Amino acid sequence: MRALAFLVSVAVLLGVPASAFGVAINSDVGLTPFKGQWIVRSQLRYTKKADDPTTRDRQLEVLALPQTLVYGVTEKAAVIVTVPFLNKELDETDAQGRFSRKDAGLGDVVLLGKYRIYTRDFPAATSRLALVAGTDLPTGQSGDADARGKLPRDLQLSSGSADPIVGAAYTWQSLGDEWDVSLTYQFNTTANKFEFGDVLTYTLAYQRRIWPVKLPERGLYAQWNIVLEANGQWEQKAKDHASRLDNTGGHLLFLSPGLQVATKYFVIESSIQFPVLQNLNGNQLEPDFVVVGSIRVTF
Amino acid sequence: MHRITGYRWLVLVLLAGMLGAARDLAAEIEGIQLQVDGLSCPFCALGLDKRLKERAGLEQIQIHMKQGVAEASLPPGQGLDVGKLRMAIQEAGFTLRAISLTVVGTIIQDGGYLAIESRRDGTKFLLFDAEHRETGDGPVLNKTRQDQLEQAHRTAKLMRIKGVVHEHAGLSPALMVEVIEELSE
Repeated sequence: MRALAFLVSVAVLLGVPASAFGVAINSDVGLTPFKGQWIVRSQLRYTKKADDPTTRDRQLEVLALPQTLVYGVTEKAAVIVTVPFLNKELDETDAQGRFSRKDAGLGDVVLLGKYRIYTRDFPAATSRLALVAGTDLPTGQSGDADARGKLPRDLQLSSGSADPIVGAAYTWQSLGDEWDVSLTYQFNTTANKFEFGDVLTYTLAYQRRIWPVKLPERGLYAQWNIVLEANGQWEQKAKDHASRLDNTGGHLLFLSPGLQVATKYFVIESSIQFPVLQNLNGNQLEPDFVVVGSIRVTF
Repeated sequence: MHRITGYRWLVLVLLAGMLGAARDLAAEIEGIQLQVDGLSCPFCALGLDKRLKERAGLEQIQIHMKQGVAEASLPPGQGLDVGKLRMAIQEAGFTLRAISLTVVGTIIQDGGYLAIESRRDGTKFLLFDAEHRETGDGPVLNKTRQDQLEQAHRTAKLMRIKGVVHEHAGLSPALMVEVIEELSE
């Protein structure tokens, strides 16, 4: 159960700083903005988790609205701030019957720096590698309560701790298609004697231009892409007072088809993430799907 | 109400003609074409547009994604700063492969080499041929072009030359000549 909140926050992380620059939807990319560029990305992520193996028949729904701002300090270095707004609802059953518990508000702000360390440009194509480092900050509430008492950790809006993040992303991009590979590790720290397990996320993304089928000889154009991503996350077991918790952690892999329109000034995109591998420890809720919608505007 | 009589029409036509001629002369660098590597998504193209305007002072920028080319022009009276162009493209996150220019000016001798010089701002480009670029003796031209440009130098004729910019340590920027056109004044 405790892992759920963390998996949700990881899902948010996967998509938030991930693709603010380039054109993968749920994956980080090796691209960085130009010097002085601003990118605003507004996302909507709806996650549904169910399949509770216990009699509590829990069902969790999370609506996350991560707002990301990116600034190109130089053509190689960027700063990224993500402010997530969350709305969570947990339905479960006890001896008295079915009931809901809810929480909503600001989640944990994520601050990241990105630096492009490798670039090789070709006519109408590029190959780039970037490193990412930063932290999430416990800006959300981690001690919210309702009439039934303190909310369970998976309903809280924050992990309560500042958690360093490091990662790397590589991109090959041409006018016709794009490949992205990324790896991110989050070192979760202790707050109130509780520590979510560290999380490793990995992605492989492919994107193909479907329109225009034949590029115009001159000028810019709006481009439609289909996107297929494999988004994986492995999570260590959480610790409560230094004891590992059995019903936490595990390995999830999503397959994420998507559609995208990219222009000179904005990108609009949508994707659905389906779990194809769910190897979770103990008794945990399993994600049914994640629906993602996003718009990015640059100026 | 005054009517424009015959001789006034003539004066107006002459003035308009002179203004037109002056405008042609002012356009010393008529067109800039930048071959940019790494330009591979429409969402990334804005940076090129903005940096070329803000850093290099270019205007009327058009980006052609398929060709990996940006076309632009200089504001009247502004000389070309190749260093700023390179910086602009670097800051946009791309790699500059080549700069093609169309320059209007007169032919001069510069350090023993032929060059084209902008009358307005004195920007000059040494001239050489693609087939003569590897001699190591500096910019040189084949005999036909050499003769044509020396003749233009002697007669101070206005020329339009299209070529690709090359930079050499210790020398003025050079144009690898593609097209030479003699302009009637």
